[in-house]
Amino acid sequence: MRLPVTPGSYEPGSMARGGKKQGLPAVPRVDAGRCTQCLACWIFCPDSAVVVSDSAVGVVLEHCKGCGICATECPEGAIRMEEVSGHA
Amino acid sequence: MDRAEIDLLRALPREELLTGGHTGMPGYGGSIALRQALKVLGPRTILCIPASSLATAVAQDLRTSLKVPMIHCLFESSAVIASGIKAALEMKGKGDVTVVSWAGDAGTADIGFQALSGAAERNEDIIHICYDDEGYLNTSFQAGSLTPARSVTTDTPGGKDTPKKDMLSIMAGHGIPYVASASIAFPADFMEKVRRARDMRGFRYIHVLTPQPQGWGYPPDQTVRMARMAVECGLWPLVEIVDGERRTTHRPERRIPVREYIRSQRRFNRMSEEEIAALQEAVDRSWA
Amino acid sequence: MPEKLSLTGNQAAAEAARLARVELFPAFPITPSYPVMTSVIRMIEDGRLEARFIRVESDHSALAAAVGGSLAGARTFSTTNSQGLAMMHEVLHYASGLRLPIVMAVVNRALSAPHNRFADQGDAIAQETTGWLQLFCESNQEVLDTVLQAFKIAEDGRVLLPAMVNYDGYILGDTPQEVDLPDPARVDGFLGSYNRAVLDVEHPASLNPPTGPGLYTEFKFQQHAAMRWALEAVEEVSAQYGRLFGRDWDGAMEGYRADDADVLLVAMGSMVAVGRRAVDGLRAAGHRVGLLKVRCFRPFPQEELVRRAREAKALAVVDRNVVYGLGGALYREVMMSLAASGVAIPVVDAIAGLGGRDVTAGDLESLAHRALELAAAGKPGGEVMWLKLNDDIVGEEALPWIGLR
Repeated sequence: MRLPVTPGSYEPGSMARGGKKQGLPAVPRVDAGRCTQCLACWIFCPDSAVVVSDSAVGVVLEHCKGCGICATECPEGAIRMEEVSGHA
Repeated sequence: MDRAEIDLLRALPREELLTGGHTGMPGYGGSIALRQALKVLGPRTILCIPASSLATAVAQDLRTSLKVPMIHCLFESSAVIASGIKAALEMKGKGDVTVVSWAGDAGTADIGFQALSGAAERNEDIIHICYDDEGYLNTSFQAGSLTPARSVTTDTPGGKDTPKKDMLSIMAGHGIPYVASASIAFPADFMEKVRRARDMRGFRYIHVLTPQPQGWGYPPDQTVRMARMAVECGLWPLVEIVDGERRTTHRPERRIPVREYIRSQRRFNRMSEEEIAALQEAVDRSWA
Repeated sequence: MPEKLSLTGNQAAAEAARLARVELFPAFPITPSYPVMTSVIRMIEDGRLEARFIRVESDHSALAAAVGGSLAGARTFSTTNSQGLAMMHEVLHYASGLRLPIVMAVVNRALSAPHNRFADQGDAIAQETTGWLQLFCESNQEVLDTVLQAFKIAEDGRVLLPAMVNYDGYILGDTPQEVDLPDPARVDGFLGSYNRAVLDVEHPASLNPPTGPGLYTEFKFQQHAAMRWALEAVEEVSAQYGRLFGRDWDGAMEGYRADDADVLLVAMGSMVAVGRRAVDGLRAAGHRVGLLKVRCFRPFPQEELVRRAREAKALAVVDRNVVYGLGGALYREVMMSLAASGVAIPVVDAIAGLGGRDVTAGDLESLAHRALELAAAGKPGGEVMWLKLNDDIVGEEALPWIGLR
């Protein structure tokens, strides 16, 4: 590994890969039947953990911190925070 | 969300210029704001971020969650470092790149104020976006000039006894072409303002409310709701001041009581019912 | 055909910035460096220099803007001194850590308090650990030549460190001297253009992220290594400039009538010119005295100093600065260099010329006589004296120290 001359990270988005993952107390579960792809969860996620396509919404658990904003903001009640089993 | 907002969101680029994996706390409003702004600013943007909770979160050692160039700059200087970057880009024929000074409340209104005011007075061709969580959260919550009166912080344990500084009027007083306030709970409004600023020249200032759960004292899933209530109770007007002309961009149909907002956050625990009533009167007068 | 003009040091620095084709000039006025600003701004207005001036609102902001511009790939220049330089302190560290080849003309002036606007090198010395090259000039010609050389050295890929070109306020800054302006085309060939954009949308990077103990030391080592390389670069560039423009200022250090000297005066800045006259006077009186001119203070040419000084019987250092409780900074560098090489000769240090106090050739001759006494006694060691300290106005408690003058 060689250091750059000017201190910095020269790999854009490198923190998205292989970070240390802490156990979450709860994770979001999307009910596809209720989801209307309004994209509220996507635009309000602090962690870029919601991914959208033209037909579906999903959550990248590797990036999710379990804050629950998506579930709270979903106007259709299509997202539920589910407790992860084994977590106190 | 109405149809127009949903259409706007669907038309935004899917690519995340702020990826996951950053170390912001759960429910962090600051990263919501940056994500929303970057959807509009796009990849030909350079960010200048001073010491702040955001700077600590987005890049460490040799890794980063950003996909646009960024300089973590000195605390006092984001507005002037951004000015230097922009001037150099123009000398080098890269004038289409947008340079954004992205600072918290300290880097905007306190330690960063001198550089901000100087850059605004010179009408430097940059955008300054203040992401305001109303306190110094990176150092575990001290009060700054943008902390509202009666907020309990580690250095105002009895509740801050001076009001929040009016940055919109101060910045408008510099005669700059664009001043706006925004809230992460109103993404279409915020992103439209970022778009308008991006396409203008001269010094542009946007002030966006970004609640922070750990400091303000509410559960993390309520961040967007807090940012919405601040607007809906009238404490955080959404305005635009274009060449000195002020207009409201969102008028709450029926303002909710400020009490609902205040009592949902532990930072206002020292505020008495009388003080809340007085605040309600002040808000009512300001919207009259 | 070189152009000969009568220029003050400030004007010479501005001409060099113009010849170097600087692209960005953020600056805040302060006495006595503001005339550099006035000259450069006029050149931009006249179209003689194609650059952006940024009318910043403080000295700290001047260097901060310079950092921004240099990160985006512009050749960047500024000017300041004393209070302004001190205000820039954290930005100096920041610029060096980011490895940006910013050049700054520092028109040395005393630091407050008490408030004094005259020549004094304490302002530069106060910044000696910031990771900037520090070069000191003896004449306005040297100011012009050194500003040009500073860009070349700073921008060298092995170096990439910012550089201060120091010259004494008023004495050089505002006093006209004859200066040759080098041929612009030849300067273009010497310097080339600068385009190192570390902030670049084509290659996005997050610069200066919070960095842990696992990496910080290695980044500092890189700066240290670059500073060592800079000493090589100072010599190479000096020689190259000499070949191209006919003036070789002898790299980091110059000896004047030094080879067979019993006593060597050691000095920096405009004091050197006074020292040369003192040497000539002493030589005429039959004393074997010479002078070592320190041109590059940071990085300090330790080995060269020892090589040139080891045969002398005593050294007399002149310091236009003071490290309270210890002595002068140049004295400290000299003592350290000698000790590190196992050379033990007596050294006397004179704190002189602070706050613009005049130092004459006669004063330096007296200092050299003190060194000759020490040389005759042959006992190694150091002593510090304050030249021409006024014992009528200094308090009684200082009297034991006055005895050393």
